[in-house]
Amino acid sequence: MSIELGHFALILAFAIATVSAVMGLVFWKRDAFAGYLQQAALLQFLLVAAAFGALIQAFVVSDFSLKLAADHSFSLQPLIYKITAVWGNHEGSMVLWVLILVIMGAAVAASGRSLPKDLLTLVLAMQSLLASAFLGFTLFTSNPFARLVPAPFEGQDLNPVLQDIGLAIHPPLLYAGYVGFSICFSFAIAALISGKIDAAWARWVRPWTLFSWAFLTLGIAMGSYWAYYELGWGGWWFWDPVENASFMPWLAGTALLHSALVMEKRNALKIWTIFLSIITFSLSLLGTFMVRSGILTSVHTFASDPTRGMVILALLALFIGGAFALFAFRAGSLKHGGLFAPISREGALILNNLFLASATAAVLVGTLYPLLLDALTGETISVGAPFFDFTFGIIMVPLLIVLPFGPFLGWKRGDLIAVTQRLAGAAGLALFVTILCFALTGASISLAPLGLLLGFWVSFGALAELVDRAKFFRTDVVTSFRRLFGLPRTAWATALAHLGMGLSVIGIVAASAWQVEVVTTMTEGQVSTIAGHEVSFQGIRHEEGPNFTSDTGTFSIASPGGEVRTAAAERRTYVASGMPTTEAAILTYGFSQLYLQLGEPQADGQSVVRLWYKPYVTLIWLGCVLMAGAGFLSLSYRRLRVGAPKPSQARVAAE
Amino acid sequence: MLFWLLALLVTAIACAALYYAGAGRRGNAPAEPDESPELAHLKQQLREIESDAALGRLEPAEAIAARGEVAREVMRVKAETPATTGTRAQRQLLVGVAVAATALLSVGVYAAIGRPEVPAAPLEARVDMPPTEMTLDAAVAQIEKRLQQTPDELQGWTVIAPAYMQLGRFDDAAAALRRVIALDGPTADRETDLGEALMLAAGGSATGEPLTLFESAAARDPAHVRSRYYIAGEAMQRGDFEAAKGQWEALIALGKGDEPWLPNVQAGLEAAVAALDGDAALPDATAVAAMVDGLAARLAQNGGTIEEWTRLVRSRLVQGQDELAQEAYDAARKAFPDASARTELDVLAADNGLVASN
Repeated sequence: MSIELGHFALILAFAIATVSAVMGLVFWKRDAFAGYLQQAALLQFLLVAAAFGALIQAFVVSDFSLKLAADHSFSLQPLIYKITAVWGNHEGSMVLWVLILVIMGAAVAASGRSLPKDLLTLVLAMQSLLASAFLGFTLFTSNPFARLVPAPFEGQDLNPVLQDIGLAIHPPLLYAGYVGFSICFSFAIAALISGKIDAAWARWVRPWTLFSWAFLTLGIAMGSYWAYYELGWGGWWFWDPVENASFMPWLAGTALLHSALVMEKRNALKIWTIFLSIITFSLSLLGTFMVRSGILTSVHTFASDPTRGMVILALLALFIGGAFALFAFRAGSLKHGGLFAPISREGALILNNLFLASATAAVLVGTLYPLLLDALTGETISVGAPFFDFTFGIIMVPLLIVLPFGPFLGWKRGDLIAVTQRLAGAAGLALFVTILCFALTGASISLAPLGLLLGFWVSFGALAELVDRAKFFRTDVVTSFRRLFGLPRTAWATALAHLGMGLSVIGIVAASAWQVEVVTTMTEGQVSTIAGHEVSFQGIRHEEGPNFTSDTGTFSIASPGGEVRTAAAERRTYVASGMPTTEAAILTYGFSQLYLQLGEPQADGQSVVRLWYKPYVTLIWLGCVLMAGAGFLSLSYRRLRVGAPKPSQARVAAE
Repeated sequence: MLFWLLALLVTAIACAALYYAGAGRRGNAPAEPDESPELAHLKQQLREIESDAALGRLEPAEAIAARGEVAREVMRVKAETPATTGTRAQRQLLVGVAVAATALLSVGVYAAIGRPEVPAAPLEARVDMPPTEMTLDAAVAQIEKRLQQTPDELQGWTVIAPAYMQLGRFDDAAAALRRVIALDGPTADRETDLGEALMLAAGGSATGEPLTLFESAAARDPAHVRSRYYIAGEAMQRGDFEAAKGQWEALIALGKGDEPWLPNVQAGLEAAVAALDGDAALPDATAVAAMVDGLAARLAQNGGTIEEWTRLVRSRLVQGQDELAQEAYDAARKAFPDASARTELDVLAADNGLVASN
């Protein structure tokens, strides 16, 4: 009965969302309904959580009278995969998506006291509208609570590629990021409807931006690492349409983060911030649903049918089109904000926004162009990594070059020459370290040193800001340290986030330029050498897992330092589906990794073994983790931020 | 019934909570303009500027400029008019309608797409199903699951092999029997079973491994009837009637005279002798035909043993009545759905191009 009660709870949540969306949007001017919408948001959360709990319960006890469980679970799966199997499919992941949506709504409702009532009403009404639309889509086109009578004895198992701890982490993180931006979206729509937007608005929006952005960063990094170790070809980013779909909201969200900063501190860039809020969530929707509409195929594609695709496209058109129409109609009536000189912190942030927006556009074009071309002319082209590497690189390089300047510039008006002088140390250091790297490794002439230089420049530039604000070298060391630890957490967050970006760049450059790959066949006892590591093959043995059998190849690896480790790479075959997967063995040495993959056994008893040595590859993800951590750090600091304008020289002199 | 009680209870609680929040007396009085969140925000900004200036984080000139900007915002917000709220009665009516619509919508949608009558069927419950309700598929799946965890369990493989045969999964049956032999050593019966499974998997031909297995079984136990029977049959297939005759005679010598297989063996011996003689000294054709028709009528009416059905199919084939043979084969399959019981019949049918259609 718990399944049917869960089903009822989901339907009740749908009904509450639908009615409260109508109430809120029609009567938003009457402050009295704020309480109703707050209560409705809370109830939606409780009910959807109950429905989700019912699904988990059915999966855990392998109740295959639930069609979803019969289709995606197997009684022998370990408990953790029984639980994650709930969202390892289209219907269940929709419920997770909506659950996170209503959690966010409930959080806004809970903190509603500090919000003006009309704004609160409108925001919650928009959240309810989103919940209603996507709950309706879930219930009527892809109901997770469909039943099977009689229940089959055994289920069909979760896709083996998804039977990994990654499924427990990646989708919830990513969805928290995607869906968090819905709050920014709802705030933007509320501002457009009510015509009221000010610095207070930005103060309420910014934590949501930070929160979503940090989760999205972690979600993307986790997805990239998961693909890296699970898919077994050692790549960490493929410019796959679905990766792009998650990357675009990240780029737009990064822009939004920075423009919301300007708005909170300086009450400027209002319309642009609204525009970015809409864009970011639109891209999030595109990211979540493009994979479900059947126009894309990739690892992420769920089985889809045409009705579902049409409904999704209609919903996307409604929300995205509606938002932009409202924007076009109402943006003119919003009050413009503060003024500033071109060379100023605001100006630098606008530059940042322009580059990020162009990068988003480039990725969007690269992702959608082949689809449109295919739909219009039937011609199939493939836009691959070279296109993205080139266009994206061209846009990102200048952004990274100017990145360290931003935090040094004053609000309202800045002094570029003074800033350049203060950054000279960082630039010199970056150049020196880069040359040192090349002198030590004796690497050949290519674009790589420039990439590395850029990475070091961004990293040292970020640290230089802390050094400068603490007045190191300009006052005694004790005062400097006291100043350093007395800096507001937001200053630390800025520096750490930018440092994380620099580290990621270094990781990307190093892992792409100096990766070593060896593909060979090995028999037991044979040794092969890669980047100074001696890999000896200890043979294959057959093993039985809970719901798979595997051929496990054991290797022992002697590093140049003399340390010996063993590693096991597997080829698994899952019982229920008969599907094979490979489990790579990954050894981490400092920031570098050795990646071993066991290939097909040959007729003569030899095994194909692929080896990669990836120098500093972990910096890519550590940089992301640092960026997300900086986001949370900034989130923890809730003092009001006022960007005190730099008074013009004339006025200072007059006073 | 209990389901609907609970569902309606949940709906009632949710609706009451909504009604109370929307139309109750609590916290719906219009806020004083001075207490509006916008003003509170600006006032807090002013306080932050003061404390920053006091701590030396802001230069005095910067603090003055910042205070000036905030003060302009305060004046703008104070100029805005507060929002209106309707009367309490109006609110009660609106919220009442909204709550009623919510309840109706949820119950209506659930009534349309819910399945309150379907019971839960967790794994535990399904495993404990009484055997009569458990289908053969379920039983096999259950044993398969157990065998995955304990692949060395002889009992499981011994039980699952005939089940596979019955389901027509001859390859799986052969694999299970191989496992049994590997775990507990060969016996004449096990080798013959494996031979049968392989033979059926190969579409009825005993050439190759099955024949080797039968011969090994017969050598292991000279009084083993089934293996010898297949050896004789295979000799007939090859056209080696001399060897077949010897095997049939040996089989007859093994029988006491009332075994159900004896008539078939005798028919086989006759066929072998007839083939050796070249021209058959067969009984009168019409008498034979009448006898066969009589058998067919009796089986159709009262049923019979699988051996009788096999004899009928063979007789029809001998008489060249292929359509009637097919008919008899279909009826036999219906009467004996268990494939393991009609191994001989299936082999005969497969050899003569009859189709296992139903």
